[in-house]
Amino acid sequence: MQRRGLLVAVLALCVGACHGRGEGAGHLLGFGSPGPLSANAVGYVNMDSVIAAHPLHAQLQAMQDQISILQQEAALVPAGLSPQQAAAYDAMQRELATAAQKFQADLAQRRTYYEQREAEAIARLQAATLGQSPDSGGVLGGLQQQYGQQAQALQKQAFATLNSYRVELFRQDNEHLKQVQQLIGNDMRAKLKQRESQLSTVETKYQIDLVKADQTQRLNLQAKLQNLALSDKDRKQYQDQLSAIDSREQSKINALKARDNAELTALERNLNAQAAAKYDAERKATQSATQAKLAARQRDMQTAMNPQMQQLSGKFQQQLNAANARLASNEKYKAQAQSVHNQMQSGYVDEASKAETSYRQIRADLITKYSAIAHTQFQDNEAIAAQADKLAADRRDLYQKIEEQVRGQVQQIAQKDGIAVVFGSTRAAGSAVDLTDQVTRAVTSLQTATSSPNASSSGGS
Amino acid sequence: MVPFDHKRRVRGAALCGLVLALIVGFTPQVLATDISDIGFVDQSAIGQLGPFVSAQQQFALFQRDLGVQFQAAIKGKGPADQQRIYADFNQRAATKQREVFGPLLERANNAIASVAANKNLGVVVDKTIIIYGGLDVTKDVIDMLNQPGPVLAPVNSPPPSDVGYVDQRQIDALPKIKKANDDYLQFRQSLQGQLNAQLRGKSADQRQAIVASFNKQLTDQQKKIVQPTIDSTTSAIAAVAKKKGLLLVIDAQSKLYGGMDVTADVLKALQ
Repeated sequence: MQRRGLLVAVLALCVGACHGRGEGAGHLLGFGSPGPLSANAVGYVNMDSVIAAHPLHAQLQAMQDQISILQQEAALVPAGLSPQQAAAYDAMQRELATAAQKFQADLAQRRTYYEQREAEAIARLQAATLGQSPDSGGVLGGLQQQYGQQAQALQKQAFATLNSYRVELFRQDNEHLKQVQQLIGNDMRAKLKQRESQLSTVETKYQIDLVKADQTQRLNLQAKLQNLALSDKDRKQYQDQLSAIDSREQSKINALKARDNAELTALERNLNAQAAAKYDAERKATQSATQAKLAARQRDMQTAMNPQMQQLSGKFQQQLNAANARLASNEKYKAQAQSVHNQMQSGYVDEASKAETSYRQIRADLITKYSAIAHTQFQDNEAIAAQADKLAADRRDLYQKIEEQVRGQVQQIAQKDGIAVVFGSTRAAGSAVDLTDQVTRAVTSLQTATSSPNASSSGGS
Repeated sequence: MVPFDHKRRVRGAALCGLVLALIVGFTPQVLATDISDIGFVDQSAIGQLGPFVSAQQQFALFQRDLGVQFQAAIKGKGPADQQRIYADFNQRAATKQREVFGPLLERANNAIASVAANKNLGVVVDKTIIIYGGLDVTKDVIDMLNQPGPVLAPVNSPPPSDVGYVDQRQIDALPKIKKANDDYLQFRQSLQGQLNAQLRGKSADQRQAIVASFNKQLTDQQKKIVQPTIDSTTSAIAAVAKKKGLLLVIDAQSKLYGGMDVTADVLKALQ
């Protein structure tokens, strides 16, 4: 049942194919005139072999030989020259090189000039065709300027928003850090004051203890001094003893105070360092938090801006496409643009041709001059190379014509044999069909009347 | 009239069915291959697009300036220094070339790959190697290149292809092939020196005879030294092509997209 269904489908396809195109079975089998629809194989041709069999191959080869000779000659450097001749040759080469550089620079300058003039003329023409101001710098220039301005305005606005956010963040940071600084300062001062107070208490107690320790001795001495009958000598002795007690006490108290002051100074230095480190850490943390916030805001802004920029760019592209479409469909504009192009090109070609003639004459004159100085005939290698190039171009033209003929033969054979694709260059074949022999036979039988460029007219010797 | 016409149609249909059965039954293996997946691109047309022309002009200007700098740099220098300077300038030119053409070539390659993937092509080659047939996708590629914005490479990889390709540079790097090429080059250079001396002061006819003799010597030497390596390489490629059931094998330089790389197999066969 399934088989019958398949057969019906195949028959239906065949009926459709036969009826619809009015073609018979002969077409499918390759009888009659098979076209590309029946082709389903791949072939290849060894183009070198085929072209070698072409009736005009001998001419092609002769041109190639001539090119080889010219190329060899163009590379020749004169040998066996006397020192004077060698000096003349070197001087000639230097002057030829200078002339060549000058000629190239001159050509480039002329080309730039004409390109610029053409671009300006086309821009004016486009503006006039599209009804724009002639000063708008051309269609592209005008639209691009417009797009650039809008894009810049968008970017400027975004930058202003980001900048005000940044200023606000910096203000908040400053305030916060000021508070932090104040808190750290207060804390440091409190700690210092506390220690100062502790040390002062200890000093007072020490002072009292000292006074207490010397109290009995001091009272005894004071009692002795109250005796009016004391001799001057004794009185002085007791007074000295009292003074010594006072001095000793004062000295001890001073030593303690000096130690305490040193401790307080060290403590203050230490507290200052701690406070600075603490402030620095807080400043760094605040700054990185701010940077992170700024980066996040910038990202958000970029994300928000992208669609707007894309929309703007799309609009610009759309306008540009519309302008291009209008220009492309305007026959008058196209004719005028072509005329401008032709005019500029013809101007450039004329000038370049004159410059080249003058350049060739300069070279010929230099060679004549230095040949006379050296009493020998120098050759212009560049002129010979130019001859070789010209001949190579002629050979290329002939080769292309031969290739064209070969293609025609390949096409006929491929269509006849049901080959869909034919390669002209392969490294090796697998199951593809080799058409080289068939094509070679067909090409060999071609008439030699094939038109070809005249080799002798351009080839020098 | 109508029944008769109907009868004729049925008979025609039956004949078609028979013919189709015959075709299916007797079609050789080669004809069964799907060849609708071979495309080609005219690379010279792509090279004429605005950005490519600008890049060429930019590079030409760079080369011109570099040439002037090179002449100034080698002035009065010995051969070794000149060689070193030459290598340095070559490197600079290559770097600039990559810088100028790299992004454009990447865009072109992406466009070719994208078009090929959309059309389900197994291989896309340069137009110059196709003489007849194949699907020309040049216009699609140019349209894609002319679109604004980036051209992205397709996500899917090329389908399997019956067209193989081989990288000649890797084959040339094989020691025995490299030696043959170097020997031939050395012979050619030595002959060139002799030729320059022989050509001096000769008439046109004499020069022609000398060049013909030079060319014959070159051809003979080429046959002796290089041809055996070419033959063995061709045989190796053909054997790989048959083993893998390929239609044919082309040079990697002509392949723009897809295809089957058989270089490793060929190298293995040649070693």
